[in-house]
Amino acid sequence: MDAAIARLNDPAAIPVETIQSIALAIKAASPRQRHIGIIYKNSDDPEVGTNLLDLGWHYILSSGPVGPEYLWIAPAIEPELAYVLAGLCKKVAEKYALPRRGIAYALRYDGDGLDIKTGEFMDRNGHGLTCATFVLAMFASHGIPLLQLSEWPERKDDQAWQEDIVGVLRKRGVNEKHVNAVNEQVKRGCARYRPEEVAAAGAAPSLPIGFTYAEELGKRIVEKLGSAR
Amino acid sequence: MLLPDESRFQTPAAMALPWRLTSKPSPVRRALSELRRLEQFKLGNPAEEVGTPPVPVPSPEKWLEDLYRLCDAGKRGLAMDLVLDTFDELLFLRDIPMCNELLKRVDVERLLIEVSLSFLMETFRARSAIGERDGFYRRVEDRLQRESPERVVALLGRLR
Repeated sequence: MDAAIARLNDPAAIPVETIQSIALAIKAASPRQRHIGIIYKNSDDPEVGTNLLDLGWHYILSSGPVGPEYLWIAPAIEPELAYVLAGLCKKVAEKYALPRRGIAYALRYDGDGLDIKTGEFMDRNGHGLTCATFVLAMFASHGIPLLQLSEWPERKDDQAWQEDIVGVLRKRGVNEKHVNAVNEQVKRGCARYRPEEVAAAGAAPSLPIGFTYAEELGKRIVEKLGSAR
Repeated sequence: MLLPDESRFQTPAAMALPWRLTSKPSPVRRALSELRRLEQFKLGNPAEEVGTPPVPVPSPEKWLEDLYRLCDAGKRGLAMDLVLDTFDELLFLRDIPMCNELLKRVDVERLLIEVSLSFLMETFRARSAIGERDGFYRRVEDRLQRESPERVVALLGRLR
């Protein structure tokens, strides 16, 4: 576990520009909330730079420079696979990180973020992703699952967070049908994949990782985020 | 008194450009072509004026030759882009027969490894619908078994 947590880098010590193709980036958005995205880089063209692809909120998918507040970690995948994943991130950024495009924000995730045939991110009422499940979907839909999803339990303290999210979606005027559908997911119960648990996959020696490992390493990542700032 | 610089007010001469610049298909262009289709519906039938939506692969032979040329030149990024853009568009259009055609005909011995992987990763989500993907996977696996047997599992293990 210590070796794994040591792989989480502070950009002040090791700049993100040193990544080869792909990495996970995590920051503390507030004392109770973390945020995760994917750093990608075109290793053939240094002028393109290193970018962060992340789902910030409902229909807000961004691609841009990586802020200094993010810690980063390069997952243990073969360089050739990482190279193609970086290319796929670039394509998703071209396609979705546009005004009035993007991806809906929702809570339930069962591994099917992308339409099986078209490759479109699903955003029918109640369908959508969080910042963490966006990262999971990007990897899993291209053959690299990060987590053993079936092991994730529904946790009481996650339900309070999920109810808060529904409240914020409503307050910000998101389409009522969508909010009601997300609310229904919360009532019925759905597992939450926390950003720090997804980041834990980046530190693991092999993928996908199980719940016990992810939860424990996730807590260590939260501690490290707290002490890094 | 200062007179205005007249050259600032001259209209530039018309440039001899074709009405539409050619470029390879891309997801952004797809969004635009979708918009165009929508407008066609609203306007009636302006197809004669705006043309028809681009066909992602007008000729499989030419597409493959372009791909081999990029691989031979070591342009792995451009070769990968060609595969990702083309298959993204084909899957969007649900043109499974063309996906099958390309996967069946492509010579994996002429591809860079990243390019072979980009075929497999881009089509992963539709693997149950594309019958020729299995054969392509096996040909990539055979090549890797010959060239780097110790890396077969790490590179292909989850892409079947």
